Amino acid sequence: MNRRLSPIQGVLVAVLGLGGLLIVLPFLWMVFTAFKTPDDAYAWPPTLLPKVWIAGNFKKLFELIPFGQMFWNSLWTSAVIASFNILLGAPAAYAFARLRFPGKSLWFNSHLLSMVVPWQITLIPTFLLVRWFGWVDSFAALIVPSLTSGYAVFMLYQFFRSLPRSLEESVLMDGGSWGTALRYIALPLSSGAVAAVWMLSFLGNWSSFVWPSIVLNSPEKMVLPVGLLALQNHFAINVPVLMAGSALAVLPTIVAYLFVQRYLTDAALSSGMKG
Amino acid sequence: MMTHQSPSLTRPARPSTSLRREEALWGLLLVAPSTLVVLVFALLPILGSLGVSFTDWGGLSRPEWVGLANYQKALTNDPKALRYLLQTLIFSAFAVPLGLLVSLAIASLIHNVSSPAVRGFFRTLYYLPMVTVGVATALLWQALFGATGVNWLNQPSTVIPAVAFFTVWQGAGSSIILFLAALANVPKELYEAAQLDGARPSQLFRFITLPQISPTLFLVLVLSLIGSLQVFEAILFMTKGGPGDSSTTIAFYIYKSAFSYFRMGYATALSWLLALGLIVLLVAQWRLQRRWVHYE
Amino acid sequence: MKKLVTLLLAATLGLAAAQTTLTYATWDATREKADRKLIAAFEAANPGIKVKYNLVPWDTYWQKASAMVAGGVTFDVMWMDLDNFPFYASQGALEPIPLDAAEKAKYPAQSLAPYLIGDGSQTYGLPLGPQAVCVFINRALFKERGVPIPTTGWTWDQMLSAAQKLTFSKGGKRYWGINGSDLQPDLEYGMSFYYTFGGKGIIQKTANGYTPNLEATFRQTAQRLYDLIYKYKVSPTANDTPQAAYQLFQAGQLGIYVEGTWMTGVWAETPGLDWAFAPFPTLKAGEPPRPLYSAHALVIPKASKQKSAALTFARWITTSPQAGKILAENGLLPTQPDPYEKLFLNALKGRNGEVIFQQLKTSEIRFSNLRTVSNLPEVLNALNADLNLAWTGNLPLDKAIDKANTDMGALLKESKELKY
Repeated sequence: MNRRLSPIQGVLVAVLGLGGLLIVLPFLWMVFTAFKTPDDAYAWPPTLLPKVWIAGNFKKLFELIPFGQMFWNSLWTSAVIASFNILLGAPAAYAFARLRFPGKSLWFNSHLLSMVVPWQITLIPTFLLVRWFGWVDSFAALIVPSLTSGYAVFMLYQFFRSLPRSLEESVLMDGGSWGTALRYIALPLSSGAVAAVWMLSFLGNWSSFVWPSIVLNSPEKMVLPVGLLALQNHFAINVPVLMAGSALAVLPTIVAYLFVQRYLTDAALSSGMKG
Repeated sequence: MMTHQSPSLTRPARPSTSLRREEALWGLLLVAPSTLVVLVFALLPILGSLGVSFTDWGGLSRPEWVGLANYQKALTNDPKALRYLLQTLIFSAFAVPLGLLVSLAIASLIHNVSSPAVRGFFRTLYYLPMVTVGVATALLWQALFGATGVNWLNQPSTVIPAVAFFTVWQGAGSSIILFLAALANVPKELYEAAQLDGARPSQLFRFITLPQISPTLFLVLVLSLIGSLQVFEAILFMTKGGPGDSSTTIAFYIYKSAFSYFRMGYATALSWLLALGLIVLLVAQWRLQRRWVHYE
Repeated sequence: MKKLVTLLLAATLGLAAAQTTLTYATWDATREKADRKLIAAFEAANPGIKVKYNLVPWDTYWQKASAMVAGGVTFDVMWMDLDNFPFYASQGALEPIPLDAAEKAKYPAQSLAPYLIGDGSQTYGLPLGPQAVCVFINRALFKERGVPIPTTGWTWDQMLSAAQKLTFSKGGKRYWGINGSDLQPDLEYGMSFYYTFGGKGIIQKTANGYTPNLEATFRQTAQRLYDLIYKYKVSPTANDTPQAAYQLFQAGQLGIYVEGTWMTGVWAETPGLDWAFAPFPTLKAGEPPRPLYSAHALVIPKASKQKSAALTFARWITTSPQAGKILAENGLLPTQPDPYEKLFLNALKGRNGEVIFQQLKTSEIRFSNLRTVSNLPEVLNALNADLNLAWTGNLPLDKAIDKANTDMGALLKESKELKY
């Protein structure tokens, strides 16, 4: 079993590794900049490694913004929103992909329409709505309008459509309901897709700053991207401190990724289950 | 806007009325929560904005009805809007194919790495750019573009491809995740059978992989079309629309019109024209997919 | 019995007063420490009013402000700049501020003027301290290159020759004289040279509206500034380095940096930097420099539920001696800077801060007479985009100014008078 040594595998790994450099270099730059003094970080031509390693940027970051609180706010709201996107989106996507019911095209196209109208112009109308509900400066304003997402529904819809129908058909023939078919056949079969969509939704919310900045006021409710944006004033950014914050902000997303990664792997889908 | 080709599951016996009713009930039940949220928090504001597009409104006080004047101005009396639309299309022409190609290539390569540990490593690696905050990545790439001696971001002829390259770098991760999920779903038996028939790797890719993942290909195509025609954040962080206004995209112009020029009514009309364009494009894609997208 | 009622009344009143909580919003993170000190001092002086500090990033500040005003839930006191003020005031979004003559006298007339509406009887904003365009120098570089430290009366030619001496290479690093790439004459830094050269304003009021006024003074000033980059090559370009000028200055690779007083907080990040203020250079013999300054203001949105407390706070920040003292001690200029000169100089010891107080005597606020041009932001954006093509080396300067003239003219034809 020396498959790992086969030349094709070698080439694969080499190509991926080279492309990976393009990813790693900027990333390392970020991490190393977080340990530089400003004058070191701004010198031109630049050096990759800090002249002197300092931890002061992290200290400063924690002085300037309530980093821990913001980090936590971002983490749980993103996780909750992503989970609701699946909870609401998966059944809807499944119905759109498989079932016949009244108004189907209308409901489906409403989801799609929410993707094509630029957010810049729905911002104020949505704010007025949230204000009408009395949610300004509350997490409800952040979470409720995002409970579902046209993107999540569309992605899951595409995945469900490409699933083989035979297994669901057998469930229905055995007297099972559509709910059973979704719960015990379609969802387990597309766990990879569900994990992917959850991850993308989590990331989208993890990095969003415009809407949170508009509906939230209290510093104790603020989310991390807004905090990081506030580090720069109109004229100048403290780049090392920003990089320190950005580097720390990457951590939970990697943890989340490693967590869902097992669903993303092919192991979740034994080919025997395919029809 | 879109019509559904997918028929309902056919049951062996002719479905009875009660079964049909049950299916309809289940359908409504399953879509109700999501649809309710969409109707209230997406459609209502969207309809509100449609109303705004027929008014002269700064965004603060009372809107003033002006009928089609905003649309008329956008279509006939604002050469800038046309130019920014063109710049947006050029951006898409770079970003969409490049993004599809790069992410599909990387996903296929990762998928074919045999060692699970190495595969897991690369999967995580290529996902990294997506998780880094926009401001930080923009700063990093400004530095990288500048480090080449000729600043790509500083010339009208190169700034759009440069920003497109940046968005591909930043966004490929999400397409890679989707492609990897699709690739994992391709039944291995198909490859095994074809290999027994003596198919070459390129043939496997062309005749098995591509058709099998075509729904995801379609998905990524649609998502990247929408994303690229609405590109905004990359412009805000990387170029602010410059040099001059050579990288100003239509979404950036909408943003400036709404929040810097205080012309919310006009910005809204522009947005609706953009949305209409997108809808036409999507309908076309939806129709075209019949030719190349294979569902089960 | 009567006593009891009075007591109860007083208690309820006191309770009601104790419940007043104000929200205060700013975009300027560099002032956060000073702002918090101000709030603490204000709360101590005004028991019964609590102030909640809100820092909103500049990138979303105006979107948030406009959504809040449209929704009728606003901050009680918020920062306002002169680009946005005319729009907010003309849309009736701001509360008029009652100021009698004695109170008006507490504000520098020039700073207050842009916030007076109509015939000047209505005030809609209380100006904060001047944010002045100024010249910073790296004294270590000056000494190393044998360039004399600038003194009052420093001329353009002296500045240019200093910049030339300060442009050099050493140890694999390049050093540049001045940040010419920031000095587009449509931005306040470059425009300060235009006013110093005798400019009267780039937009003119005529009998039938407004027209661009990019005349000889403007062109000559633009040429001088442009030549710093492309003729004398004493300024870095985007092809030399992607670093912003403030970054090069902090890295010790830029000798002269023309920006504004608001940067002093940034310099504190690099304790090793030997920076100092320098006098703004003169361009015409016998005439003092006329660099620009801007004065943001505190405004009270109409939708505020705490108007009287908001007014108390806004007045206190802009006119009280305690506030002036706190600001100056933190190296910031209070609304009326002169009484606090000693404290300010002390806070920025050895940085030659006197020149700021000198230049403020002949400073101006740009466009303060044009605030009723309805589409001014768009007009200025067109000018900026066109000159930017020249500044980035993509269009000859003459052509860029001609183009700006055309573009501005077309937009100005469409503009209306804002009515308040």
